[in-house]
Amino acid sequence: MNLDSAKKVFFLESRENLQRIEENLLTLLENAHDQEFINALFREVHTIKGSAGMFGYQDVTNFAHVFENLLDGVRNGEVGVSDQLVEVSLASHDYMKNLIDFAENEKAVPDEVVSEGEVLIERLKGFQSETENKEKQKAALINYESVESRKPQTSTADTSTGVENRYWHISLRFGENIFTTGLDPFSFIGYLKNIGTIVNVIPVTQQIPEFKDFNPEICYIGFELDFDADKGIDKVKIMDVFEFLTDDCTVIVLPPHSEVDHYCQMIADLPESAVQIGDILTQSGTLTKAELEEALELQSSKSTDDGENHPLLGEVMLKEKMIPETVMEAALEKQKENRAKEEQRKRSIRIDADKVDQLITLVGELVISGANIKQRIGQTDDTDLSEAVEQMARLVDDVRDSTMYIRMVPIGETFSTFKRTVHDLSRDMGKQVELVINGGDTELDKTLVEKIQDPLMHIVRNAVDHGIESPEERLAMGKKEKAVIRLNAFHESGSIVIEVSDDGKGLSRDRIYAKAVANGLVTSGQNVDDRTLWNMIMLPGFSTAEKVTDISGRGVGMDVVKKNIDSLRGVVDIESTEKQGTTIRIHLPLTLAIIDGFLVTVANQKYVFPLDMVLECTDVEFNQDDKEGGNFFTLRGEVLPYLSLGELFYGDNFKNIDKTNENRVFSHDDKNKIVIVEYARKRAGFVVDHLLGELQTVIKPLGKLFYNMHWISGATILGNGEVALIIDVPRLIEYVGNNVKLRGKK
Amino acid sequence: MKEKRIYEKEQHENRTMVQLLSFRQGREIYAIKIHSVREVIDSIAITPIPLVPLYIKGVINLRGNIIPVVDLNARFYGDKGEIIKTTSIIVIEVPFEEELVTIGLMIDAVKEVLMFPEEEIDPTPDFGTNIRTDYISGVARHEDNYLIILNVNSVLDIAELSEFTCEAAIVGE
Amino acid sequence: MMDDLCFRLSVGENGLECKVIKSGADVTEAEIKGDCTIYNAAEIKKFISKYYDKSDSLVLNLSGVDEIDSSFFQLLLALKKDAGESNKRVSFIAHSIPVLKYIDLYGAAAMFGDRLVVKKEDRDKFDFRYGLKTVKGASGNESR
Repeated sequence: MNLDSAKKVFFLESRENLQRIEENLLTLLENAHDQEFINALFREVHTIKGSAGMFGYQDVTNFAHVFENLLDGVRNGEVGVSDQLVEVSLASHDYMKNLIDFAENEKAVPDEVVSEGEVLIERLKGFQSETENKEKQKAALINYESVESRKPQTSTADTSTGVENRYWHISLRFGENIFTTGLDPFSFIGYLKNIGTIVNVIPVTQQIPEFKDFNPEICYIGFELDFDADKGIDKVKIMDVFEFLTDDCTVIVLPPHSEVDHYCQMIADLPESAVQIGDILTQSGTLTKAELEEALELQSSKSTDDGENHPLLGEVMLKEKMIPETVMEAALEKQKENRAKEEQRKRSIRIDADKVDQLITLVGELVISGANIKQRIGQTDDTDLSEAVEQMARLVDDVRDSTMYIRMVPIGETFSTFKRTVHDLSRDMGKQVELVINGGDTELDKTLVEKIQDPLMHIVRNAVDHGIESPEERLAMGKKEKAVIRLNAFHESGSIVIEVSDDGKGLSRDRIYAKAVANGLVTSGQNVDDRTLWNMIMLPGFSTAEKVTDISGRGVGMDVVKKNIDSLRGVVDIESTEKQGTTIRIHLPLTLAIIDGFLVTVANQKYVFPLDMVLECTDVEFNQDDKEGGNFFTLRGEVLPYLSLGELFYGDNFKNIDKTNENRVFSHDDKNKIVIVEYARKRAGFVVDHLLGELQTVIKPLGKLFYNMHWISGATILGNGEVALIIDVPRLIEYVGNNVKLRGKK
Repeated sequence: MKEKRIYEKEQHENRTMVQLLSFRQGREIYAIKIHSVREVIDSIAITPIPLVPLYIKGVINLRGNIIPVVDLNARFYGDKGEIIKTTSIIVIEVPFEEELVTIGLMIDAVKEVLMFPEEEIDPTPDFGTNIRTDYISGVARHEDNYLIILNVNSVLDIAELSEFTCEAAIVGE
Repeated sequence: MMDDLCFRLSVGENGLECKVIKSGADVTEAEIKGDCTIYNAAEIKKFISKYYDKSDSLVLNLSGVDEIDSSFFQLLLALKKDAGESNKRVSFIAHSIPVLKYIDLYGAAAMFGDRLVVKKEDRDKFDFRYGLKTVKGASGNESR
């Protein structure tokens, strides 16, 4: 890996770290005492600090160091979690993100940003000095791995938070090839005698297999050492002894009287089980029994830190009946979750999105040529060949599905980013809002996830800004002071639904109606149902916000949201009850590239319905009376609106088009063929000339020229090279609904 | 399907040469600068699209890509262009919103590829034409005839071409 | 002087000599001499495996081990550990100074549980400050 690509990974990972920091901070607001989140926070900041240092981003490292110190204080319970702390931490997060942005763009950090950082550092340090005042007798904090911290070995410090052990503790584990490299641990350990006295050495033998499986050239052993360093020997000097060990070796150096917590971390970092290490440490006198037990309680999620697959500390302890079950159960559950998450992360690999897109294009071509072959095979009598082709077609199907699945990502991450938005906005506006997320693991096409972010952001902002009332108003209305905004995602009949709902004041029918009249959308006194009215707020230039706030109402409104979602072949729907809240529901197609389709003809042209929106295809005889009262027909008792595509597309000319010259085989009778479709909880029928059956299609965009084209969402190329147009079912359903309704009212 | 090689401007004894592709539409001979031309194709099935203005003839399948086709006759004179034996589609790339959009231009017959010194092209025609003047980028004399050189970006202005409403879209009509 | 000469003669090509003094189902007594470093680790393991399986008890004379590294120490440790787990007995006798140095520094005296003989004149070569108490869990072999 060259430096550039390593840097790329650094930026990518830092961004992920930052995102988790933000998530954890926001969670911390609700669970102020959850050690797990505090630990996680510390680790993320620590990671950024370390990796930024590796690439020489000193400003990031310096800042992260101060931030980390504060978090370490929080971790040790010296600094309490307060709203102010979280605010400063959020600001610190923003600042680090800012620095990393500058680093990535290879720009110098402007002076005003630098001074912003200085102010933040002062604020961060402010929290720490508070604690220092509180616990004056306590010696300087020692970071688990921060080499610059040191503690005099003849420390007289209050040991109430540190362990009794007055010696340095050193844990050594080696890479399995150390013997063959010519480096003998004997010489490193022996060298320690030059800078102090070795108090105790315990070989750790747990990794040695049975003798018959024992490979004498592989190193299985490790050592736990207690070391009495000479005066003036600090952590750096001790670490220096092991400088020549390769990266696959583990060297952990803990200063005298280290916090139990650090031992705990060490235990987690070692490959052996916690019980084994714990045993060694207590019996060698490194830790007292009580200290070990304390370490247990602190253990929380740390055992997932390293990549080893050793059992979780708590799990082992439980098995060994070392601690009461009730105490551990909850913690165990949490650990398992963490571990599962961690495993998930470890099993994934990063792939350039372009590579995936290229693969999808190729699979698209494969699908088309597969369809072509299948069509040709249909014209021969070779059954063996058709069978082989049939099998290949199934494989192509699977390949297509798996390929499309690569691009599917859960929406949860996008949802989480709104936590911060809601938090900041509600704080700025003096509102109290809780964001509840459901269905975060619902997966959708990566492109969709990216493109839905901005519209969703706008909707969420709108909800906080316009939807939610002030706490006083809410109390006066008998509502809870704290409002709830729900983000919800789920699958529904071939589409993905994303809902943003709030329990705020809802849309004001009167105001929207007045505005609609003023804009000439309705005539005064005209009867308009709620849905039609609500949908008007998504028309360009339609905004009812009385005052322009910082958050929304800057001229871009719901019309932009609608436009964006339209471009994704999605549909926006609004439900609202005055004084009770608003739900904005977005229906999106499952994927953007390949679909199963149902092929029909209209006036000798081929059209495709997306199959997952098709409920059924049937013959139907229309009652003339029905037609007079609007385009409705009855199917098994259900009254559905319908539309003749031929009449829609060709108007009166349609009658004169000879529709029988193609696919004669399908037109045994003169009955109308109707395709029943459903989308966004609405159903309608479309009358077509012939039903040709199912096929796989690769959606090809029609391009910018057809930006204002409403009935066709794309095109596809059939096996014989012919172009078929894809019916835009969502839009047509909407059109049929409106059209039929308005006609009926005339 | 035939393809014509494309060369950009060539340097000729310190004179800048412009390569043009000339074609016939109705009774007029037009030319377009060749650097925007990707290829010329003939005899290909055009799939009509319902509910679009006359000037959009439909779409074609060009080696797996869907390309819209503009009917030059309809664009110039407002009458549907008939498909005749010599009808060809010139595939052209026009810039729009910082990218190149590929469009097919349906014309009556392709004539030839010509090389003109740039200075022989008169940017301002001094005679009347029956097409919009912003479509014309210049005029050149060729074999006793005037050749009208078209401004492709204007003839195929995507912003303008895409500005249509589907008639049936008007709710309640 | 004589001993010295004999020893040299018995050293194999790779500086290692492994020899069985006494072999039986009850006890096998063997001797390992010379270069006991990583270069010969595989060879040593092969030799020991041959007799380790056959006997309930293995006695290894280490007096002739004149060069060792941690791989050999680990091999000894592995033997002890396995013996403890499979109800066998492995003892090391007559440890040479290099072997003793490793046992000393690595705190393995109690863990190995063998009698260690340090000549008076060699006393100051060793510390034996620690590792004299058996640590449970540090090794599978708790039997003496």
